[in-house]
Amino acid sequence: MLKNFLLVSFRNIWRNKAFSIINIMGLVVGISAALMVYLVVHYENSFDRFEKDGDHIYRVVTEIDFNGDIIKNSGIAAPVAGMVANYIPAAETVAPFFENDITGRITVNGKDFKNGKDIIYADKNYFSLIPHQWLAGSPETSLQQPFKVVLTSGKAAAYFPGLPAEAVLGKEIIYDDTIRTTVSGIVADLQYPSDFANKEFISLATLQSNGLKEMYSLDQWNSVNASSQLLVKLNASANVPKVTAQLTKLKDEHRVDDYTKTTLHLQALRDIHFNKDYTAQGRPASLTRLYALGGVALALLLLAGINFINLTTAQAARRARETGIRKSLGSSFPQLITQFLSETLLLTLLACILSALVTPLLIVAFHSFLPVGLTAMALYSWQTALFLAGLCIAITLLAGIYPAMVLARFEPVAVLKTQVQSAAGKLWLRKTLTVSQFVVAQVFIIATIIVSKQVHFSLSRDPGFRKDAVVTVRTPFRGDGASQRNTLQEKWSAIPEIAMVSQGGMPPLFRGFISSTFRYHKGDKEINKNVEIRYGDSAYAKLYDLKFVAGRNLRTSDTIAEWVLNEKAVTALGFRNPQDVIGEIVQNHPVVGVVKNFYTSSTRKEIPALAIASDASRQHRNMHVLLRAPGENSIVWKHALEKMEKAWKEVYPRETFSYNFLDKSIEALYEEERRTGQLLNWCAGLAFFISALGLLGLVIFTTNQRTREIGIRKVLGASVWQMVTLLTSDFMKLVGIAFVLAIPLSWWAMQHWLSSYAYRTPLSWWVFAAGGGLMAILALATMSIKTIRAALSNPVNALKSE
Amino acid sequence: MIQLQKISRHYPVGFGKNYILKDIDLTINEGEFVSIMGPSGSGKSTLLHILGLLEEPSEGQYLFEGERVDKMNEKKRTQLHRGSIGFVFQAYHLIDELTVYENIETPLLYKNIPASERKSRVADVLDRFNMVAKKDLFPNQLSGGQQQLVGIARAIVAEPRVILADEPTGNLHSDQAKVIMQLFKHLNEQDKITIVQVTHSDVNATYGNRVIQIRDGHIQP
Repeated sequence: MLKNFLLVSFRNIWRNKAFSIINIMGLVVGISAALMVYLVVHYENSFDRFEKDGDHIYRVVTEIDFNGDIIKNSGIAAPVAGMVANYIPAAETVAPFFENDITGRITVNGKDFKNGKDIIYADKNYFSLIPHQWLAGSPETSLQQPFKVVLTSGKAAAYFPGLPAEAVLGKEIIYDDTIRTTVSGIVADLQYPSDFANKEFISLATLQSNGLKEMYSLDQWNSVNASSQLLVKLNASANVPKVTAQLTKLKDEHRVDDYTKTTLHLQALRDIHFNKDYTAQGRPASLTRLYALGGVALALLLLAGINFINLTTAQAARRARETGIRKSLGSSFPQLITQFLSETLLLTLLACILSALVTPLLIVAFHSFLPVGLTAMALYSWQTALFLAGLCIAITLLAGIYPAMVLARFEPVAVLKTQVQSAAGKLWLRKTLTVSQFVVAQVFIIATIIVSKQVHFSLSRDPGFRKDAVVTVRTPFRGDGASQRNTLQEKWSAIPEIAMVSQGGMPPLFRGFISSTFRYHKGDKEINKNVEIRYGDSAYAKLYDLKFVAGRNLRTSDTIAEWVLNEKAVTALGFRNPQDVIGEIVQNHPVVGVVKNFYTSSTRKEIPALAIASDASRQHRNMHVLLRAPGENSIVWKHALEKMEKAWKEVYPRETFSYNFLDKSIEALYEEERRTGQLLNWCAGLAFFISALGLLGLVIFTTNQRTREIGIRKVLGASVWQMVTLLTSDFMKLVGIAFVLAIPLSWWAMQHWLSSYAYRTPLSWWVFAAGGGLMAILALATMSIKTIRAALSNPVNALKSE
Repeated sequence: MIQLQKISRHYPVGFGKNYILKDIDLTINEGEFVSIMGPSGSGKSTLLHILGLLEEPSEGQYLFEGERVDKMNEKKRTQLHRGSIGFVFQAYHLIDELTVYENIETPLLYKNIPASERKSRVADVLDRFNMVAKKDLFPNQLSGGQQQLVGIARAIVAEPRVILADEPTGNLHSDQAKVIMQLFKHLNEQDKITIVQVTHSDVNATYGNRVIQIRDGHIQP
């Protein structure tokens, strides 16, 4: 029986090649998208699943309350670790560790390496919570002594190429020329995805020595730092709220600062990868992004399913005779349903197999959208096979059941008695489904236009400062500081291609913020305001072409001596006129000037109250360089950069020279939007592709059905153009309805999306018009594949038959 | 074997009813070869469909082997289609996607007959109809007469008690028609299969042993 079913199914699929290809192509797109999203979700979900008793492992995190502004920090004040170990009995294992983001240079056998941001200070407890396979040394002994280091085999291979694990033991690794350590153990690299994918473990005891103790604030109760982390494993019977309460109580005993209130919380290990509030050391996964991706995959699957339903029911009349015959031969209704469903299953199965073949290529092509660690190998697992099988069955049932019912419901008398074949399935249903397909495609198209419009808006706005031809260079953290920087500034200023060099902190606009609470006494009233700060010497304002509206520029000073405010800060402190604030003492220093507002961040953020100060001894770590316009006096920027590097090497012989063009850094701020835009582009394209396939299928079907009519009309004198209009107008009406429905939907969705921006592009009418126009043109083009040929056909051929 | 009592079939027209069949009383005994004749639109095809359980009478009782058909559930009717009734259609109605062999095999599949027996029975029928060489062809590769032979082969392969034939030779020329009618006669006489055919042709009617004339929904005496 099944063989018979499959045979008929296969021959049917083969006979209706056009429709089968349309169906399969749509399904392949939908299934491939679903498969990719599944792989991403599965990958993100697999983070930190390998730890034994992972359910009992927590990270202690800190919430700091600055007068109502809550800041969440994934780290703790270092002494908290000892407190937890001594006074929280429920904590079975306490594993403090410190991320080493201070080290700038690692020297092995005289060769310098960079900090890969994968170095931590840890002890054996860390390894009991995050288990590693030990290839040499042991977790008990290797990290007991100070100045010992354990490497993963990958790191060992990078530092000591070709040496076996045992031979690496005892070798020396020097950090920042001062911390001399010996390798005391080798562990295997983690085989599973983890946010604790550290590769270099320096013994925790090392921190107790020389300057490190101060650098990592080991005794400071009020210094919360994300690099100082604490993992704990509670015993099985521990009550998390109770432990949290104990923590807060103990912490309060050591309260130092009056302004802030800090509380400690337990963050479950499983939560770390998905919680954006407390950044993980690795890359946190965005749940909203995963949901969005899932939604897209679902939408594409839905569109493909609609194609299947539409095309199958449209053609039902052709299969009706078969139903009649089979029923007269003794087939029951369920048997017919099974037969038609098995046909759907076969089609879906073909699509699944094709998807499984295509997806590895897609993983390579779309790698920039995918998590870094996700490879095509993830495809070859039993979970993936199970997912595909489940998906296949779900699609078969959801897309196949209605057409199967329509086909199996035919009464034999109705179809066998007469030679005339009646149309079957509900016409309004097909129309509704087609409209909903195009609504989806249309919304995606409009969304794509709006996202790219917003990106364009963000990039093309005048930031209020000079952003072109500016290069920023970070100077090394270590070194003798100011004097080296001054030498470098002198050398660079002498380069003819360079117009100006300024020392300062961050450029006017960058990702992130530096802020402080400013106190100002206005009469008896004390005003506290959160103010962003930029640091720079006297050349900073000139270099960035900041416009002064009152007062004068800053003078370069070793520590903060005076302020220049922006207009926002002037109003925030309660002044109407910029002139009035000049000479006022704010946060211990006088205000000497006011500049016009300029943008300090991406379009997401409003312009804040801001102050500029000079703090050469601590804050001027960046060199800001203004290049002369290229072409003028045959200036070539490449030469300027080469000369800058040469001068750099004279000052910092062991440091690599790297630079950023400011306008490029500003563009990079919108990387996320750009990726969203690209993804939407794909969604819109694919959604339209699937919908257009369905449309083409329906046009092919109706055109074939109307062959005789077309012939007769042509004989009666209809022009080709009139015929094309006749054949397409019904469908264009559906596209038009879809457009009308898509307007409020996309308006609402994009309004929502734009609301996270402080400065946004208007939702102009032309965006919608352009989206609709684009859709109409594409739909017409798709249909013309079939209609023009039909309209051009010789009427004699159509009328000759019968 | 078949008993119709006061069978009527009508459909609503405006406020009234239009009768296609009215008060048909008919008994067909086992082993008969009955021809139903009448002009177009007289209701003969409808009568045949009612006999074949493809259509339900609006009024009256239908007894198949003494059992009330109108009381039967869907399952029982399907059983009758599978085991007792074979159909032959004017337009052959073979399944285009199946070969000759597979078309003939289909009723056996629905009867859940094991594969080996299916094979031998289809082989027997093919042999009997001299169609072994054509078993792998598709319907559209056959002539009309050959298609109808396949149709009959398909009707008898499940060994039904009765064959209902709706103008079986309507689309065939006279030589082909003769072959088909002789085959029916043979089936009736040798295999004792009850045959009911609808026909326009007096010649065809002579192959049977009883003729029923229908006019305007009534059986003519």
